[in-house]
Amino acid sequence: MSGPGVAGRFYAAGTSRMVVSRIMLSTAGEDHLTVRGAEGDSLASAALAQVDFSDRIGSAPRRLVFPDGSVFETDEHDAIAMLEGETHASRLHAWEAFHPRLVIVLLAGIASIWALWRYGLDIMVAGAIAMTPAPLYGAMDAGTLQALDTTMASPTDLPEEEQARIRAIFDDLVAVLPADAIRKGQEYTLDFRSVPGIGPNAFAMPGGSVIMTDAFAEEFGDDDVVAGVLGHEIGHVAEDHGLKQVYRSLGIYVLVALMAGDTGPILENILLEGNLLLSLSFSREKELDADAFGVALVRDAGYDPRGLAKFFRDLILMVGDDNGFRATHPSSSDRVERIEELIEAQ
Amino acid sequence: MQSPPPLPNQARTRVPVEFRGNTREWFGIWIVNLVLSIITIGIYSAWAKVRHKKYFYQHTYVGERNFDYHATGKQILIGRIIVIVGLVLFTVLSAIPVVAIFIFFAFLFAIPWLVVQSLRFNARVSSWSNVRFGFLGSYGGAAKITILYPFLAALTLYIAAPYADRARRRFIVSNHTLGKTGFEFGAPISKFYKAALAALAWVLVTGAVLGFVLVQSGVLDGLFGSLESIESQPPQVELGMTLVTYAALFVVLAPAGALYYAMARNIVFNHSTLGGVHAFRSTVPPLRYVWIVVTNAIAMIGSLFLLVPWAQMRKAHFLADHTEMLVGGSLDDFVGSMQDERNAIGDAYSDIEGLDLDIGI
Repeated sequence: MSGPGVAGRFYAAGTSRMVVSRIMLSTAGEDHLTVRGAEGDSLASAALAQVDFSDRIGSAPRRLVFPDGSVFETDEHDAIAMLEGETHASRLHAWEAFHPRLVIVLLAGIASIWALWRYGLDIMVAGAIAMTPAPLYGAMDAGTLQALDTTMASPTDLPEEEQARIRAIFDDLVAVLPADAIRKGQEYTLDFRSVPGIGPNAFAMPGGSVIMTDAFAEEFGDDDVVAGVLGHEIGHVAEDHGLKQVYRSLGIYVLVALMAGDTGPILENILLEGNLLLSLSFSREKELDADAFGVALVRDAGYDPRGLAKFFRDLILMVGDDNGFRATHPSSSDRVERIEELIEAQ
Repeated sequence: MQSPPPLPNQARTRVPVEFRGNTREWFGIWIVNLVLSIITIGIYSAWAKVRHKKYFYQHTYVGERNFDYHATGKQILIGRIIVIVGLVLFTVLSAIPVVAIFIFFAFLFAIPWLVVQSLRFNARVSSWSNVRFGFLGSYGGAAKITILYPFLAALTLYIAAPYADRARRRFIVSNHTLGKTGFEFGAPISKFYKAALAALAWVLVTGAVLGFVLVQSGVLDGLFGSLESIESQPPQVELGMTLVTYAALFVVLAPAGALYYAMARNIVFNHSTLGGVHAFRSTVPPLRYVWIVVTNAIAMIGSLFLLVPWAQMRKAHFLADHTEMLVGGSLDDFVGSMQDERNAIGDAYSDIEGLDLDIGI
């Protein structure tokens, strides 16, 4: 049985010659499709199962590709939909239709953005950290230290006994670290450098190297203050804050780049700026986390946890209190407040 | 500016470019794409990209024949996975200062390769009237437009930048083919200078006006005042900084970019031919294009991104409405050629890192 068929345009494989034609379905025996020209001549013919149907997208013409590469194109959507039956692509097309149902899709979208933001990113970051090979951490520390030594740092001028005293505090803290804070083969080490450019300071690198400046040791001699600040830096290492930050902003960047599509130059800039502000907010949050970790660690090691709060109070007197949403660290007064709350709560 | 190269003995027929997309349809596709991409933490975005491209290509017609996009989600996904792994390695290794230098040079030499890969892949998976496009550019040619010419332009304090830009557009256009038929490009440099000067003039005038307004309104006072007392920066200063940044972006830089984009698009279309037989014509009014781009951005942000599909449709219609093909012969005679499609790595890279290969077509 052959019907009058469906009108459309035919192209032989790899040519732009457009031939007005009709496609017919024959159901005698196996279902069979034949494209016929204006004079009824057969242009292409194949079993229905061998013809590839293009996905339906909006109101664009459907393309039927024959095994020999020739193409029949038509705007008769209903006829093709009947011929094709229900497929994944046709169900997708139905969901895309402008219909109140899209509101459900929209709400699902908002909910899933929230879930991705709240949980998905953390899971992805944890996965990336688990896959980061351990030798890389050591290489990062060594490289950073070397760069520091060639650019701004010089060997320490601290007397031996002073170094030994501070190292003993550091060792006390490392000794009480929970087991899960130490990766396989990881070592926490403390080094001293004279770095006049950055004043009294201490910082940690992802692999576990903690650096303290001479100026810090000279200005803040008190054992509890030293312990508080070292505990904070050890907290950064133990909780992988450095790599987490790198992976997190990379993850957001990639997701935005992949999903936003073509939004134009202005929006792109705003999204990138937004990412920067978010990563700063992440950074401030992690400073508070490291404070909390440090306070607990210091107490476990038998030092006075109020040392860190004292440090920040002294810092306010020395350099003032900075804050704001463009800062990498929270303000010192906020941190003092938080630390005192933590000590009271425990 | 509007006259294409003369074609002996044949009058060309003007065939408009038509974009038949509509916002209702596109909104549904866009939102479903987005939701599925998020639910699958980005994996579906490869298929979403294909659907996005297909929608725009298949709804764009020249003389009742539309474009089509043939990449598969799987191809795009594989390309993206490779690029993301590479990007993670790059970022992590860059944290090691000494290694970072080597990585930087390795990356620099990879860029021309990525450019060629991206252009070739995109050409091969695009078709018009059932004939696939092709791209024949070489690594050497790409190295010139991505590294050498920008470097030389910088040496001249960007006075020669229009030459570098013309070279880039020539590389992209004249290496493209439709089947076995090649595109040719021959625009005079004076027009690129005109476009660059127009953009520069916009930056100077709006920059001066913006500066004047900011000084008058006192937004900047906090900024200068704070220099004396670094110890305490009030939060208003940061807010002021952010405000100034956005104002500069919206009023000065983005419109200047759009202005140049529209003028350069007109130049490229009006001086390119297909096989020396067919010509093209773009008559985008630059200032109206600036208006469209700026108001689109405001609408997208103001609607919390819900109007993104509307803005995309508006822009696509506007550009198509100002574009036509000057047909100098039969459109039936293009024949496809066999060319290796390669992989989607370059394409994925240009998606993620925003590699700028767009010359306004």
